[in-house]
Amino acid sequence: MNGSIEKLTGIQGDDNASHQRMGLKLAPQLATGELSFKTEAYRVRSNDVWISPSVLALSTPGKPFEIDSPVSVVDEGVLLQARYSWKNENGADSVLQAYVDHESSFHQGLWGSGSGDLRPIGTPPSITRFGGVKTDVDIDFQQRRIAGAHDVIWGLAFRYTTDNLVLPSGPYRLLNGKDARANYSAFIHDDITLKPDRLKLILGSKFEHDGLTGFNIQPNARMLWTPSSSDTFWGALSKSVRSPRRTESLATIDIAADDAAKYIPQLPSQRLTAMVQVTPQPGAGLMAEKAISLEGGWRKQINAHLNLDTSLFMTDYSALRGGRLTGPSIAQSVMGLNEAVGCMMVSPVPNCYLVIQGYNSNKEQAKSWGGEMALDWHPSSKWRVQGSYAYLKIQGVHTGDLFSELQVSAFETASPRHQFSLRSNYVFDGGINLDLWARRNSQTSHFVLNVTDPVVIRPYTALDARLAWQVDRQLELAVVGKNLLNDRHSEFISILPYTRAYDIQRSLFVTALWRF
Amino acid sequence: MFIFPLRQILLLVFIALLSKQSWAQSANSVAEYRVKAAYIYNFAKYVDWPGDEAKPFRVCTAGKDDLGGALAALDRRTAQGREIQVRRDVALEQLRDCQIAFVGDTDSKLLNQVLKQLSGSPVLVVSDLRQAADLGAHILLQATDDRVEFDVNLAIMQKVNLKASSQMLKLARSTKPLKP
Repeated sequence: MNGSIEKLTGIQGDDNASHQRMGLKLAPQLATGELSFKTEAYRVRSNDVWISPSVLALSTPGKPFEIDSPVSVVDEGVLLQARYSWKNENGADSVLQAYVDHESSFHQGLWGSGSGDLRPIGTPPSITRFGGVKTDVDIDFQQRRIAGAHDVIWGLAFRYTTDNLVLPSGPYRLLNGKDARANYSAFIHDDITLKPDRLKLILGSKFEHDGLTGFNIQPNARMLWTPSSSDTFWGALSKSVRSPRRTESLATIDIAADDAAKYIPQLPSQRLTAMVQVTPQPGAGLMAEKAISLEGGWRKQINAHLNLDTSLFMTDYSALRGGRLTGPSIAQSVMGLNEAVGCMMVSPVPNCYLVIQGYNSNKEQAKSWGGEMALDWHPSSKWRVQGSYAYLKIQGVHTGDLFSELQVSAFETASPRHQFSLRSNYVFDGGINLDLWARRNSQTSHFVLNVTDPVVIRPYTALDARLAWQVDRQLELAVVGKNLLNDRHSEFISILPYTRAYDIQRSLFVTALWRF
Repeated sequence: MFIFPLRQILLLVFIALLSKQSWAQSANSVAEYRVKAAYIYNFAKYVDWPGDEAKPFRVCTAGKDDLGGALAALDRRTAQGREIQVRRDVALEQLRDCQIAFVGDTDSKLLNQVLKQLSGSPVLVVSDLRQAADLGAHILLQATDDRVEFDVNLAIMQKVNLKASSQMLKLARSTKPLKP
């Protein structure tokens, strides 16, 4: 497969969205410190096309084992925040903040992969509302104090989250989506000056008890050496974690659908659908993904007009979320084979399916390394040019397991190996500004809907330009051109959920900005 | 110099052969056994047996070959509203009490005796032995280029009042008796 979904389906992207947003901020005058209250509310309505794996007989015509679902999306949210900051007699700055954040996101449309209670018969898609609501109540305290060579920031935070995920049918199914959990954390960060203007050591750590994954520590150490005013060398070692979302670890997810004969060649072809499905293992707790990174860099001011910034990094990932087959082989991980064969015997259309069952695991491992080089050049006070190149290589540990391979290969190929960027900004007389931005990314590929043919996003070069005229202090007129080199190209793909790859089309628009 | 006693060498060779065999019996044959067992399960559902019995539904193997254990997985499932009982290595004279008799290709020498013993009885004889259809088995399960297909010997089934559903016959590779 190659190219974007829009190219594959011919479905016109419908990015029409209506946004409503309002906010209010109050800052009453106080003698002891600064107090502020903030409230924000938003509602965004949009439309999208989601693509799911599907039982063959229920597939969108011309797209076996896939189904397009046009959905309408409503995202809403309300935030209430209070913040108080003050200075102690001993010079410490403190901030106490509390907020309540409520978010909801719901999709509605003709929806379903076919997997469900009717197994081995595919459940026809039906008008379904799915999504979720989440409320966070958060209170945190931070204090910064400078004493001698130490610049210390520390903090404590407590958050209580209640959420409800509504995922009634495949490809995402979660029957009891309600959860409530507490999350508490503390952090400390000490910026230590070992030799003034020459050597700095920064030590810090976050200690967190996450309601989903338990206790995690994220320490980091960083060293800065400035031998002269134009050179800085730095190095850092850190450990970080990522907590999985509840949807990705607790729901039963149909990750792909395909002809069952592809996995079990003993079956007749194009009669039975194999739904490749992951479920959580009963009783298995969630685990955070871990990354240990070693980084280093050199910043050099070559002369008054030219700066160079280079860096190298290496990251070791472990406990990455992935999956494993439930049995020792694909044939031994098939669920519902007897029923599916029986269903096939009586059904005139290919609406029967079996399940290739996997479970979620946190066993994948990978390493990544790379570097970046950036130049910032000011040939004159009117002209600035920035160029950069970044290299990234990700190498995972391959086990041969169907689910593990899918996750590891996707991790390896989803990010571009090479990225180039060149930007120029020129200010002409009379308040006219010309911005040019060219960038090139190498190829990426993404496993979606089936496990054998990744969707490839070809390497692309894009050029954006902006010509702006500051007419007076209040009015700015601008002409913006995007993606001037191609008619269209794909830049990214969203998987889980898999929506259209958004093709970036050549576009030209005019803006007027009036400040008053 | 150290010399292995002959017996030990033979034992080693035997172990090597055994493990090679279990390698060969890996993914592919597991799938083949599971698919064949799935077909047998569905023959139990989509073939009509004469009489109306409340007794358990017996799936028996005439020899030791039970499709690598895949048939045992059908034990206690239901077919025709009756609980399935899987019996392995059933004596010839007791096969008459079974609804399905399976003769695997590693028990090939049993097939003739089984057919003779069951002649005239409403017991569905299923085999994955290549020459089974010629010898008079009711259903031949066969793997060609990996794919498992089945032939139904309708004429012989009719003689003992076994009726296959029309949908099941649509899926069969052939439904005519190979030997008139």
